[in-house]
Amino acid sequence: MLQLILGQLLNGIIVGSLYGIIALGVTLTFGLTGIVNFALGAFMMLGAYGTWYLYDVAHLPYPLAVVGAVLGVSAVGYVSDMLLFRFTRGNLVNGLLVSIGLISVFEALVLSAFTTTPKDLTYVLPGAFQVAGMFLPKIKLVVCAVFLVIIFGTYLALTRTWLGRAAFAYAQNPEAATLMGIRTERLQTIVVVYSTALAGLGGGLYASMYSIEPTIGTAYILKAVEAAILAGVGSVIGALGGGIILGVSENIGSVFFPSAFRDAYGLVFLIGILLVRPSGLFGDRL
Amino acid sequence: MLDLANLNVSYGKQKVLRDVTLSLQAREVVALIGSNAAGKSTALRTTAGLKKAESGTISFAGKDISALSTVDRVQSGLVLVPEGRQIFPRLSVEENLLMGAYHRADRNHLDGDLERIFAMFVRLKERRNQRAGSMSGGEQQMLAIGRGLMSRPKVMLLDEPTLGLAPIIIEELGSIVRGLAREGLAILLAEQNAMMALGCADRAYILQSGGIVMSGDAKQLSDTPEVKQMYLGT
Repeated sequence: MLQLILGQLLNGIIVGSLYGIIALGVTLTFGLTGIVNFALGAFMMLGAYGTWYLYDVAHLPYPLAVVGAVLGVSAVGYVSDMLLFRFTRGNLVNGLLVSIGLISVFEALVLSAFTTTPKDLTYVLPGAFQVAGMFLPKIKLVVCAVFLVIIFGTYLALTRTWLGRAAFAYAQNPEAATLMGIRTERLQTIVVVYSTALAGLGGGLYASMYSIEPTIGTAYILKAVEAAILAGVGSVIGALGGGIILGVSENIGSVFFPSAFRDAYGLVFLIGILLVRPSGLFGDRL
Repeated sequence: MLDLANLNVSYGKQKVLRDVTLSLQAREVVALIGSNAAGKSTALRTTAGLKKAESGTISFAGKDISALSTVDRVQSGLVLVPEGRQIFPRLSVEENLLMGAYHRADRNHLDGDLERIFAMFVRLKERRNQRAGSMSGGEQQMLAIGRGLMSRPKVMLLDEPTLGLAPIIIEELGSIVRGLAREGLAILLAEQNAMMALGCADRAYILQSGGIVMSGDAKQLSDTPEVKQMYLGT
C-alpha cells in the first residue's frame, strides 16, 4: 500500500510539473495581456506532434526534435500574436473567443494531416531505476527535471534580468511601466510567445511518455488554468506548486476513491483552498 | 525648456483643457494650481504623452514632441511622477528605483545614481530591500520621486505629490523640490495644496475648469486677494 501511494505521489509530481509549465504560461500571459490563453493546450499539442514528426518521421535525435518543435511552436505563437492576440489586449472576452477559435483550427489542421490514430514515439530513453521496490522510469525523471529547471530559470529571469523585472513591473502597474520607458507592446509579444514556447516544450516532453492525439491539449489546459488559480495568478513558483498539488491530489485521490472521478479530486482541493485563501495559495508572491 | 502652447484636450465630449499655454525654464519650479478636476493631471498626462491632445503643441528643449510616444519622451528627459505614486508594490525599494533607469543605455552601472538617491532619501536606504508596497504613503512618494530621478530627467512633472501626506512630510517634500531645482532640474508641480506649491515655486499658473485664469510670480500671486480667498483660505 505504501509503495502504491509513493508511486502515485511520484506520478502526481511528474504530471503536476507538466500542468505547472503550462500554468506558468497561463499566468504570465494573463499578467501581461489580461487574457486567459486557452489555446496554450493546443500549442502543447502542436509541440507534441512537432516532436513526434521530427523524431519518428524525420529521424532527428530526440533533444534536437524537441528544440525544433519548440522553435516551430514559438513561430506559430508569434504569428498568432501578430495576427490575432495583439488585438485582444486587456479584453478577456475577445481573448477567450480568439483562443478557443485557435484550438479548433489547430486541432483540425493536425487531424487532417495526421488522422486521429494516436502516435507513439519509439522509445526515447528506455529503462528505469529501482528504488525501494519501486520502478522509476528514467524518462519521467528527466522530464520532471527539465520542467523544474525551466520553471526556476523563468523565476530567476523574472527577478534578475531587466526584461523579466520589466514584465513583472508591467503586470503590477502597466501605466507606471510605460512611464519608466518600457516598450510595453514588445514586452507583451515576448511574453505571449514565450508562453507558447513553454507549452510547446511541455508537449514535446509529454510525447516521450504518453501517446498523442489531436485532442490531448484540452485536458491539460483546463488543469493548467486550475493550477494557476490554485496558486494565485501571477505567481511563477506558485504555478509549479499549484500544478504539483493538483497532480498529486488527483493521483493519490484515485488510490482511495474511484479513479473515474480523478479530475474531480483536484477541483475539490481547489475549492477548499479558495475558501480559505481567496487569492490563491501563494497569494501575491512571485 | 518645456512649452505648452494652446493645448486643448477632451475626454469624450467633455472638454478638460482649453487653450492652455505655459512655459517652464531650466532650474525653475513652476506650480500648476487648481482645485479637484480643474485639469491639472490631464495637463501633466498630456505632456507626458499618456493622453492625446486635440490641438496645440508641446515642445521640449526646442523640439516639438507632440507626436512622440511616452517612452520616447521619457528617453529624451521628460519624466512624470504620477498622481498616487504608482510605485510597483511587489518590487523592493531598490528594484523600483532601478526600473526608473530601465531605458538608460548605462543601466548596468547605477551604483552612483542609487547612492545619490539614498543620500537624498535616507529612509529609502534603510528600506532598500523591503517591498515597496509595505511602506507608508510619504515613503512611497519619496520612492516615486527617486524612481523618476533615476531616469536622469531634465524636466520632472510632479502630479499632486502631497496627496494624503502629513503636514511634516509635506514640508519635507517642499524642500526636496527646491533642492532638486537648485541642482538643475526643472519641475512642473501640479498641486491642490496651494500653500505648499506657492511656497516652493518660482512662478505659478492657476487653472480653473480647464483654463489658465492667472499666472505670475509665486510670491506676488500668493498676495493677490482672489488667490488668498480661493486657494489659501486666509
